[in-house]
Parts: sequence; C-alpha cells; structure tokens
Amino acid sequence: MTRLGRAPRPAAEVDCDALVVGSGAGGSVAALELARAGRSVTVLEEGPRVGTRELAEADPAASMRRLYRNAGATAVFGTPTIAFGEACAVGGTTVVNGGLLWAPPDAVLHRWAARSGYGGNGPAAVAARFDEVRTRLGMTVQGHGDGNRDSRLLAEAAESLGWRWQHPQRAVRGCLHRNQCATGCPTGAKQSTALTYLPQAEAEGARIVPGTRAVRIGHRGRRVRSVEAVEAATGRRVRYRPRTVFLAAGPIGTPVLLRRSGIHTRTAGRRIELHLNLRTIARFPDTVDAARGTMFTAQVHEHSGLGVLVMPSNLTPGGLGAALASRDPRQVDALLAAQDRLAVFTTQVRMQGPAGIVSAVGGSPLLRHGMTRADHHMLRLAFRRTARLLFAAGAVELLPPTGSAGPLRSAADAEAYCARVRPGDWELVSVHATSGCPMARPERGGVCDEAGRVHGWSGLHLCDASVLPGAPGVSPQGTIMSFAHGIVGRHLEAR
Amino acid sequence: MRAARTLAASGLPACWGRVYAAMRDRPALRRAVVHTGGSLDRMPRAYRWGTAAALAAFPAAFFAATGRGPRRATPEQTRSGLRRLRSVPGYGQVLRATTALALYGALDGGAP
Ligand SMILES: Cc1cc2nc3c(=O)[nH]c(=O)nc-3n(C[C@H](O)[C@H](O)[C@H](O)COP(=O)(O)OP(=O)(O)OC[C@H]3O[C@@H](n4cnc5c(N)ncnc54)[C@H](O)[C@@H]3O)c2cc1C
Repeated sequence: MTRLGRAPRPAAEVDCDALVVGSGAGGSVAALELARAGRSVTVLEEGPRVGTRELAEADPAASMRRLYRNAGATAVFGTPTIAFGEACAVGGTTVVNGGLLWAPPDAVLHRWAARSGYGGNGPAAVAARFDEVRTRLGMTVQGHGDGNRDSRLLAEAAESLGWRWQHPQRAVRGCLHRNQCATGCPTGAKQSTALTYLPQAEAEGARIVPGTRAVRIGHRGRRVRSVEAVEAATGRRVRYRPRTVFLAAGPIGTPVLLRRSGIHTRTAGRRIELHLNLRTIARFPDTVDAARGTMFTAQVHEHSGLGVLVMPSNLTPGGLGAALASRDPRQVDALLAAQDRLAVFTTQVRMQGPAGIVSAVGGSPLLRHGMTRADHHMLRLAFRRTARLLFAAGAVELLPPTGSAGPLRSAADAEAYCARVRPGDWELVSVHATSGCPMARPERGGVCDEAGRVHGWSGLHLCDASVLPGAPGVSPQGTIMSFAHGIVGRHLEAR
Repeated sequence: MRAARTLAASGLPACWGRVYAAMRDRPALRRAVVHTGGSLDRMPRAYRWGTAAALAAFPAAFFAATGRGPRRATPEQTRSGLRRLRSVPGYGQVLRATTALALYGALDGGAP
C-alpha cells in the first residue's frame, strides 16, 4: 500500500484517555464499556450522525448516498467483480443492516480456537457475552407481520420439503414493517448502536465526534502515541494524543489504517473473508406484494452446515430495478410492471477463497478476491437448492443471478443453468466481511491477541469485524459485539 | 454534482429515458441522474476517473455500435446499442453499474 506523504502540522492537539476509531458494531461496545469503567472516551467517526427523524424524512436513494461508504458499492475486483456494502455513519453498519442477531455456532468457535491457538472464546464465554448484547439491544424473534407473504411462502416450502427454517432473531423493538432497514429505520424500531450503545456511552461521559476521519496512527518505536484525524467539513487536522487506541474502523477500514501507519503491513488486510449473496428473482402466479412487510421473517437453515442460508430480501422498486440492470430494457419494464408478483431471495454462501487489500489507488484501498473452483461449485450447489425451494414455494419462473441468463421455469432449467454458468457470470453482492486482522497467535498469521492487543505494539487494540478468526457463516453483528465485549473486558481486567 | 454533469453530457441519460419506462418522464430521469451522479461523486477517486473516462467515450462508443449519436437514435437502435456495449468487457460493467444506480434513483429517489 502506498504511504501518505508527510502529514502537515495539525491545527489542534487533543489529549484524551481512550480513543475509539469507528462507531459501528465493535466501536460502540468499546465506547460504552470503557466509559462505564470510568475512562474518558472520545470516539472518532468518519460519517455523519443521522437521527431517526432525518431518516424518516429522507428518500431511500438519498439515504443510500449519505449513509453508505462509496454510496453502497465498493468494488472487490476479481472474476466476477463483487459489490461490497458497508456504512459510514455514527452507529456504523448497524444503522443500515437488517438487525439480525445470531450468536456464532459452537462448531465455528471450536474451529476458530483450533485455528487461532487461543481458547478464551469458547461457546460458554461467548454465550455469556452474547447474552449481554442481546439484552442491551432488546433482541426479539421476528414473527410474520401483516405482509411478508414471501417469507410465509418460503417457510411453507421448507416445511413441504422437510427443511429446517426459523423466524429470525432481530435487534428491534416494535418493528412497524416499513421495509426500509437497508436505508436506515425510519421509525427507530431497529436497535442500531446509534440508538443504544452510543447514547448510553454518552450518558457515561463518552464524546462522539462525527465527520472526522482518522488518517494515520502515530507511533514512537512500537508504542502508539497519537492519531491524526481530519474533519470533513473544514479539512482541519487534529492530532489526538490518547493513552490507548481502540481501532474499530470496520473490516476494511481497520487494516487500511494499520497499513497506512506502517503497522503489520504484511499481514493486515491480506486475507479478508466474505459471505456472498446470490440474488434470485422469483415470479409467482398471484400477488405476493413483497414490498409489504419487514425485510424478512423466515430464514431457511437446512444447509447451514455448508455455510448456506436462504431468505427473502427487502424488495423496493428501486432495489428490484437495480438488480435487473444488466438485462434488456424491455425485460426490465415487463418485470417492474409485474412487481407485485415478484419476490427477491438472497442465498448467503460462505466464500472460501479470500479477498484482500492489494494496494491503494489515489489513497483508496484496492480490493481483490480469489474465488476458487470450490466456491463456484458451492454457488452452483446453493443455487440448485434455492431453485428447488422456490419452485416448491410456487414460483413459476426464476431469474438467476446472471444478467445474460433467461428465465428458468423448471428444475431441469435450473440444472441446465448450473451446468452452463461460468465463474465470471455470477452477479454477487457481499455485506459481511471479516478477519482482515485476525485474533490468532503471531506464528498463525494473527495480528492481535485475545485482548485485541496488536502483536508487538503497545497502546493499540483492535475491536471490530476484522479480528474474527474467520467468517462465522451467520450474520456477524452478534459475534462481532460478543468478541468486542471480550476484548474490552480483558483490557479492563488487565489494568 | 460534477459527475451528474459528465453523465448528462455523455448522452447516456437520453438513452435511458428512451428505453426504460421507469425513466421516461422528466422527473424520474432527473432523479436517476441526481442519484447516479451523487453516488459517483462519493466513489474513490480512481473509480470516479475510470467512470468519467468511460462516460466521455460513450458518444463515440455508441456511435460505433449503432451509427447514430446517443441523442438521435431510435428506441430500437438504442436498445441494440446498449446491448452491444453491455457485452464489451469492462465497459459493460460500467454501463451495468451506472444503469443500476439510475434505476434505483428513478424508482426509490425523492424529488431532487
Ligand atoms: C445492508 C446490510 C445488511 C446487513 N445486515 C446484517 C444483519 O442483519 N445482521 C448482522 O449481523 N450483520 C449484518 N450486516 C453486517 C454488519 O452490520 C457488519 O458486519 C458490522 O456492522 C461490522 O461491524 P464493524 O464494527 O466491524 O464495522 P462497522 O459497523 O461498519 O463500523 C465501522 C465504522 O468505522 C468508521 N470508520 C472507518 N474508517 C474510519 C476512519 N479512518 N476514521 C473514523 N471512522 C472510520 C466507519 O464509517 C463505520 O461507521 C449487514 C450489512 C449491510 C451492509
């Protein structure tokens, strides 16, 4: 990664005790726990602070531009190019996510312990921390609302096949089924950390500084001394001089900042794990009205052992149009005109070939992935199972996630598509990235230890998705926050 | 808003308005351009430059594909021109990404 030139002298210097960089799932936990322990905490957040009222007044497209990094489409180059989505706002990606809250499966934790060489994040320890997260976020099991016909059809199909499905666990209080989770909940029902952990941290004395980007970690020898930051509105540079830094800039942001600062340049961000989303559009013979209802209320877990989950996704006219963009305009028109009979389904697949930050171009990270043959095989398998499920749900036509592929009307069509599809044909999205700075022993490629301490450095902890030793196979927020509680807890115990 | 100007100058929005029902009326097309331009303005610099270069080349590329300029082509010529350009490696991706943004903006955007 190219280094920035010598930084100009900062306009201001600020002494503080604990500095948290990033206010998402991981950073919010650090902010609250440190403040509760009586530390004076400052949280730097690159994105804006956006309240529920503003979310309710903004249209979804404006929120997409305002809340997401790169307006929602960070490219991960490779065959095919994958669009990665993450937020840039106070509350981080929890502001735009679905609020799904799962604990990591025990088998995953055992695998991670074996891989990382650390045993402190076993099922019992993580379950206790997940309980704390669940309580603070007010987790509920999300039943069907008035709408959600797509979820009901999916659940019925799973039952007809004898496949396991579940209502999702979500961090919501009184969901009004507005179907705008991905552009920020307009009612305040979704319990993002902007509405929970962060205000609680502020009540304990933490200071949140939005619109301020950390650009470099300053160090003398191997001791972190400062963090240089830039205020977006004024361009003013500020040098923070904390005693301890908790870096929680997210799965891409954290390794980027480490490398830019000359810390673990060889390992940070070299191996980022992704969950991939395949989007299948299904046409039903009668009205589904998939835009009515919350994101989804049923998730099929039958193939979770393979890292495959199937669920409906938020359907909005714009989201549907965007998903159809590589198709012929006449087909787009026809499908949009028939949208009350359409539903969009997401199949989530854990990718084996890693992605990574290969360099920086114009100051921004360049991401590449190396999808393997096994991944391609798994995507085909996942699509086959999805097609079976959706035909069982009554779909009369499926549009697979390949713009050049025509509609599939039978299992045989789906089989023929799977035989034909090439790796570069998949249209893939990812919203879950982890593991760019894994918590593992140094000889196993780890960047930090169980307390999030960066190996070989003092005064620097990592505390977000980047520390997970792998992709959890389930929605990661619960795992990230449970690990963050463990990291901060160990730090406080050690003092 | 710089990208919105580059986009408008490319003639691509005129093509969208001609072939997509969702962008046929003026306010919808305006929402599409505002969202696409506003999104491109938030992309990393290298990506912005690449897209700007592709958009600047659009009139020539479209002419090469159809023998007509993007503002003068018939709907049928427009559809076939866009189809051909979608299959050009690299260029197709830019076209797909900008069209996805445009459809999103037209359908889920508010009054500019
Ligand atoms: C559309 C969508 C839906 C999702 N749905 C779910 C779901 O339902 N359940 C689930 O478990 N997960 C979901 N996820 C994923 C989940 O939200 C993320 O994995 C999680 O929030 C990551 O936590 P984090 O703390 O690592 O990073 P983030 O939550 O992304 O927070 C990082 C923060 O750091 C800030 N930052 C970055 N760099 C800097 C810098 N240099 N200076 C200052 N600030 C900086 C960013 O702006 C950001 O606010 C979803 C994601 C998306 C995009």
